Amino acid sequence: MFKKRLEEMTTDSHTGDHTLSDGRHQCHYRDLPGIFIKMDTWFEKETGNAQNLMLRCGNSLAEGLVLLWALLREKGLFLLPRLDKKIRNDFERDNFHPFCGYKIWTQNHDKDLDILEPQSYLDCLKNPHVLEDSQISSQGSRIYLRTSGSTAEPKLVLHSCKHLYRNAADCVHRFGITNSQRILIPVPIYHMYGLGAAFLPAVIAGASVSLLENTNILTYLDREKKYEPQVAFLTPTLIAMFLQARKGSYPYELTVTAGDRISENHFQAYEEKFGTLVNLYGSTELGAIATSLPGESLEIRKQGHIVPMPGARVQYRQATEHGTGEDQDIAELYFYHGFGFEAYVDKKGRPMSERPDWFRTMDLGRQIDESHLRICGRTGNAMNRNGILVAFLEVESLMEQRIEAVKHAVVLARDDSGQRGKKMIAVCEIHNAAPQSGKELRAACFGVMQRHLVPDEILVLDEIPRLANGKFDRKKLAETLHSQSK
Amino acid sequence: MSQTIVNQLKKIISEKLDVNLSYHEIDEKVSLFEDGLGLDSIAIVNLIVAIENEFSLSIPDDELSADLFKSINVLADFIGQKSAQA
Repeated sequence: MFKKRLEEMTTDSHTGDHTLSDGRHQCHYRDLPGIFIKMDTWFEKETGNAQNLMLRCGNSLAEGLVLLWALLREKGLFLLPRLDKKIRNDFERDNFHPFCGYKIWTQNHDKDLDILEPQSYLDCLKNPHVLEDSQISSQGSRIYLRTSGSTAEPKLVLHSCKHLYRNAADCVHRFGITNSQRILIPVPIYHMYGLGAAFLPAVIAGASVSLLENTNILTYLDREKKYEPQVAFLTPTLIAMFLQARKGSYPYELTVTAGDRISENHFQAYEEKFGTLVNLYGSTELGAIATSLPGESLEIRKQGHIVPMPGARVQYRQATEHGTGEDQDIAELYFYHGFGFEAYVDKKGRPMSERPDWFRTMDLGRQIDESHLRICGRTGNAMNRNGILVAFLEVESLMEQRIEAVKHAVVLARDDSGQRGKKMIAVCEIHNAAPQSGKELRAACFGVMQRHLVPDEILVLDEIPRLANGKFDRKKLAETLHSQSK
Repeated sequence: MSQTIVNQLKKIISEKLDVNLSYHEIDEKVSLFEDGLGLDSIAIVNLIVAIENEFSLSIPDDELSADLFKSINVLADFIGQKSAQA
């Protein structure tokens, strides 16, 4: 299906003129057949019959083209982030997966690269220890992605081209992507969000695509000015940066965001300046699972109310065996997804176990109505208080929305020695103009939330520690709280 | 280019940004990005906000550009011109 669709794109007189670019290099859809034939020649000469390849992938056009070629040519491609020197060194040294015959990378990213001549920028390294008997080496086009490892050891996830295509086609429909749009993708295409919800949908829609790497507010603005996109795929961190540093507005037809929640205030502020914003909820394993609907009201979308994709169904399973009453609203989310991953595979590329029909997301959620649900955080970011399950994300949202002084709140559990056991601690950043103590904030909590949601203790920090990507550093905060409790 | 502005920028970067750079380590001639001082995307936004506060400026979107952050010297020139216009 993907092959047929791409052939249509390249031969259609209108879409054929649309471009794929990365700010330095550009090609038209009509150029793709010629590029892929040259890639055929190069790969056959350099990698022979190797079925599985590792690609060091960033957001360059050259890497995007290799990705599309592999999907069309029945190859297996393991996408490895091209991030920093350490990863580069690892890549070039010893991290071959035995089921991959070659490592592939693109070079000469400078301006004189001729994107139409892939032999001028492709390079490879043979795996001296490749396995010949990989059980999945000839199962059609496939992509291997690595999970982030945020909840467990990183895993290798196998996706078939067929399912990636179907999920991408659903994204095209859900977001209303058309071939007349220019789409800016500053999120990495070696992760499922950038690949499955942004890059592939944009390509199969025949839209013009601009990939951006080394994304920061300045590189983004430079590209936005030159490219004048109508659709953008962002992260909550980028959205926060926009709100912090940008003075003007920009008329996006649609912005998609995925990842951490965006506070209702930020959601509304973004939308007032940059147009319709939708949330996407997904995972490396299942791709796009649910999104807010672009046509629904701001009121619904800003509350994080999302609707499963056409291929997905949700089950709400009781998150605690002791829960009663209100806590039954919050449940652990399991999804059936017709176009999700094929299997986890081991280092030899062999499926590790049967994929369950219902995938445990490790996320908590709340059913809003028959079609909508709301994500309430990770299962680890919750605690049972007096038999009621409390999702920290909900407490954080309530504090930020309903207590004027609170700018940001992060809620964690702290193990306290003594009879009471775990305590729920909120760490807050407050607005400069509204200094308040932790005790005053806690008193305010009683007026705006139910008793079981009120943190046991509130700490006020000048600045909550953050990771390099802008997310709050919960691990560091937890360690600090733990050391304080000793 | 004003040496005073250059020094103020070095002070902002060393004291207000989470970049682990001391005042004397900062070379005003190198890029502020990863190929130079190594400011990441968060630090860059924080620097923009700090410059606006420190120099009582407002930098509109169409003037924000990666070229502006080629070096502290280039940035200081820009701030000097903006301040003169104000």
